[in-house]
Amino acid sequence: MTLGSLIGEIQGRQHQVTVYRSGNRLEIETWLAGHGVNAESRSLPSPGPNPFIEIKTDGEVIGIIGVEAIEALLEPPIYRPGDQNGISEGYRVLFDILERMVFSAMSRRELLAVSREIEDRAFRVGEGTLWVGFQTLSTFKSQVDVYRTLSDETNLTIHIYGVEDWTPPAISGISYHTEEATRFEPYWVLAYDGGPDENQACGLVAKEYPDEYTGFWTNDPTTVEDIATTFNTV
Amino acid sequence: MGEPEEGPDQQNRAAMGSSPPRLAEDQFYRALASSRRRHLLYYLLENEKCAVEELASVLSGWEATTTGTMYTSADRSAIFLQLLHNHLPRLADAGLIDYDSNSGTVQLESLHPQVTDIIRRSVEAEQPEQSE
Repeated sequence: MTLGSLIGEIQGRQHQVTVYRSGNRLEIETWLAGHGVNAESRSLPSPGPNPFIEIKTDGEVIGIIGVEAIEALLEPPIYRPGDQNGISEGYRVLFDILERMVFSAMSRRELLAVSREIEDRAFRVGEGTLWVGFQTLSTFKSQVDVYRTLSDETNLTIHIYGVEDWTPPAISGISYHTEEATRFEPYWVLAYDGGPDENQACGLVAKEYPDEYTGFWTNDPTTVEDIATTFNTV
Repeated sequence: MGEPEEGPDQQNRAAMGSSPPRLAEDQFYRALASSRRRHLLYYLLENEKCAVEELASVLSGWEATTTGTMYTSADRSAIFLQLLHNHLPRLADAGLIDYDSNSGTVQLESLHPQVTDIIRRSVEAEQPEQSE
């Protein structure tokens, strides 16, 4: 399986998104539409409940949650892994409800926020393996401090993939893989196996297009394993 | 006999389904003695006929926004089953809704304005608790 075929497979899942609200179209509906997800809307009486959203995948309800809880999508927070303020709460929710849903037109900032949630989860568990594809190693340059902390303060095994256009510093616990890395070049990808706890597994796969990315994130252990496998077959 | 039952006013009330005399019946209050049932009736005031599936989603969402949590598929299924086995039969018995178990649809009976007023007020009274 390649990362491309993995995105294709996830794209085949059928989502039905319904926004319940009173009044006008919400910002989140505009965001979803702008990212390739169609959302229907239903009218709520006013006064009444705050707006909420229902996600169905392949005919089955995945979850129902207040729109407020997923508004983190609109202004993704960027925190360092292990930041104890726990403000990435909003992002954890997104892993529960909007996982394995392919979004188009993702920005670097949006992907960075998702990546941070994955790194933070790896940090919190402190064990296991984290695979990260940085496209080119020079992209890793701005993340060296974050990954040094991630490696120094945990027992994680970290594998970093990227086309060698820069020589990264040697950090104990981190290994670099540049052979055959061109096949990862169009992809922003992370996979964390959850260490001792499979339920903590999570990952992100996004393909770069001019000025934007298309991809998905997941907390499904099997899908995370599929992502990890694409790295291990180098 | 001798009661004004045949009067035009009474006929008019009867045509409106749940007429004010219901306000003296215990069953009416029992039917309303659940926030889920009041929410359900309130939603039906605007969407007169809808599927039980939709009601399960609406009640789940309503509670999810109030508690600030996600309602999972299991949470929603539990509400769906309670609708089928408890809430809908009670409301139907009280003459407030018509529930068609074959099509899985629920329709509001034509309610007297006093009854709709009570339903509205009960939900409006919750509003201060919901942060705006």
